[in-house]
Amino acid sequence: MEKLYMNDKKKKKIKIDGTSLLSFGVAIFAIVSLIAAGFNQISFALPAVEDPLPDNFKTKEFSSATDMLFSDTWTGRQIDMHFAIVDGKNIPVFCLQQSVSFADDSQYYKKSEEPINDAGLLYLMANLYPNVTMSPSYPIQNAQLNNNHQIETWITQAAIWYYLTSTSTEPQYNALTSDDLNKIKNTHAIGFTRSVLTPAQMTGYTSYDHTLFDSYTVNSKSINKLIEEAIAKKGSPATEMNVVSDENYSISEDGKYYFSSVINVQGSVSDPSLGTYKGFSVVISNAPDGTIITDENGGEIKNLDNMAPGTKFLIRVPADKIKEATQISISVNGNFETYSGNRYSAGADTQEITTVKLVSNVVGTGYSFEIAPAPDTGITTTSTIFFVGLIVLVCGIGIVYANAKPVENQQ
Amino acid sequence: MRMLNRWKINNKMKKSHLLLFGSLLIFLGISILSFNYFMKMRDAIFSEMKIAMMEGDSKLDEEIVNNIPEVNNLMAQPEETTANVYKEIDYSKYFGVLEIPKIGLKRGFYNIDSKYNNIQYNVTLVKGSTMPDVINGNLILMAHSGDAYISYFAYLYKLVIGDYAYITYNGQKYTYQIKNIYNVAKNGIVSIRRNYDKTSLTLITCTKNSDSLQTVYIAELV
Repeated sequence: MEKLYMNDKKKKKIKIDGTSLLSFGVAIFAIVSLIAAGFNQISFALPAVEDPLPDNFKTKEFSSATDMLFSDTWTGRQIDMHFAIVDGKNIPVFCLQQSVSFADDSQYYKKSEEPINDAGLLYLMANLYPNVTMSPSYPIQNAQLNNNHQIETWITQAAIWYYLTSTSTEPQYNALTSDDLNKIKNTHAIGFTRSVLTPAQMTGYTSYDHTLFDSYTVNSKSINKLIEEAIAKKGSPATEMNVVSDENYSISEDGKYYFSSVINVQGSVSDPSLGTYKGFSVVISNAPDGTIITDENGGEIKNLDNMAPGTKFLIRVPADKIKEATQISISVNGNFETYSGNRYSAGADTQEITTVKLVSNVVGTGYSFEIAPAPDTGITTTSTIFFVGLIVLVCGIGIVYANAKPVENQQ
Repeated sequence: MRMLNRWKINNKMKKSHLLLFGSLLIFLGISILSFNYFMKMRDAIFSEMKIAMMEGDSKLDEEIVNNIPEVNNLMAQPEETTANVYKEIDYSKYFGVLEIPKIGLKRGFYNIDSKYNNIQYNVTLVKGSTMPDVINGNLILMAHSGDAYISYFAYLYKLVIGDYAYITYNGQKYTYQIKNIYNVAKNGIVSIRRNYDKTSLTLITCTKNSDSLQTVYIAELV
């Protein structure tokens, strides 16, 4: 019996251990699967915020030793890479005007303090090289065609020209003809220096029918699709800040303060891939002494420099300080981390260039409201006066009538 | 018999006193009933007089301005010319005139510092207002609504968006068009919702048939 008992114990032990092991194994498998699946998900995980390009920099043009060329539709066109040299680093830049030469080894200067606000162009550039990595859609066994920065540069450059020609009304940006656009879109093959290969000769490039724009994808999206989406975003702002309030004022129960209605600050980025809205700061000016900003419960908000997205607030004004009409101004600055860039030029007859980087930036908006003291402007004393006058008149008539009646003579 | 006669005489005297008293009451009653009417008439007459005086002063200023001597003849002229004399503000005169033809309103208003700039007496210029010659400024006027003789804005409720109002100030007539009309709670302050890029006129009075609201009329210079 003991033995049996002992065996039972042992058996139980084994059973327990086995179950535990199995459960543990399943758990590990699930976690690994989850992590693996997570890596394959399409996400807009943004890189770290960088410094924007400086106000000026020197440029460098790079032609690969292997000199990749296009065959097929745009035969012989060399793919060049252009860089801005900043702090010893080469930062890829792109040309905005297809028909103008790039100025190599030249000093480029920022054209305007106003950054590019074309949401379509920003969207396109934020989702292309070097900000994201392209993946070939079709099996490409030739190592030189895989993760090739020259190809990705060309695709990005061609996409920018295609977008600008399709959307810009300024002649310097839409110089490409429809024939040029077709050539861009329908570029099939890549060749190498002095040995332009036919599609059939290209090792590893399995299909001739697919164009470059179709052959590479960004986050599972073809370049064609990306360009379509960018064109759809043309004209919309990349970032937006709005202040919404119905501008009504109420008075506190003790009559000491006026409260505005809830003020709602709304910040947004037109696409998640362009960046994020981080919050806002508020500055109030030209307000009577003692004016403060409170939360919806009336508690004072002291830190106005770093208010979280979605924070709503009210303005509280001491009632005894409103002696005259006053225009109170609120400056709201939205804090964003978004892709942004400026146009640069080396002077007349040179190519305009740009690139976009994920940077911290501020988008401001203003909100003003005017308040004025207003005494009671209603009056109905005339009715009272009329009533009193009527009573007096009736009394007078009554008295006169009662005493003017002739007395009957009694004998 | 004698007592009866005395009683009759006393009674007659009492009756005559009462008749006199009754007549006085009738007279008083009629006076009270017509008080508002006569005050309105008086007010209208004085207002027209003051408007005429203000317009007359404006023309006088124009004549003076035309007589400024030319630079070349400056030495031949007396040192003090009429144009160089500092013109003090007469707070008893109208500072400007508000006119709304649709409701037959033509009423002056006084300078902000005048003792007559009071809602119990006149259309009131609100402190902090700017005059029509200030670009993107806002002229704010208030007055009573209701049925008293000082209810100058009694018929403002008839105005709709698109109606016109005029302000005469400093010899110039400014045309405004109503762009917005809204009600606010009557709690001692009014929020003025206007386009800050436009020169505006704001009129404020109590909302018709309401004890708890005020109506704000926003007009823009055209």
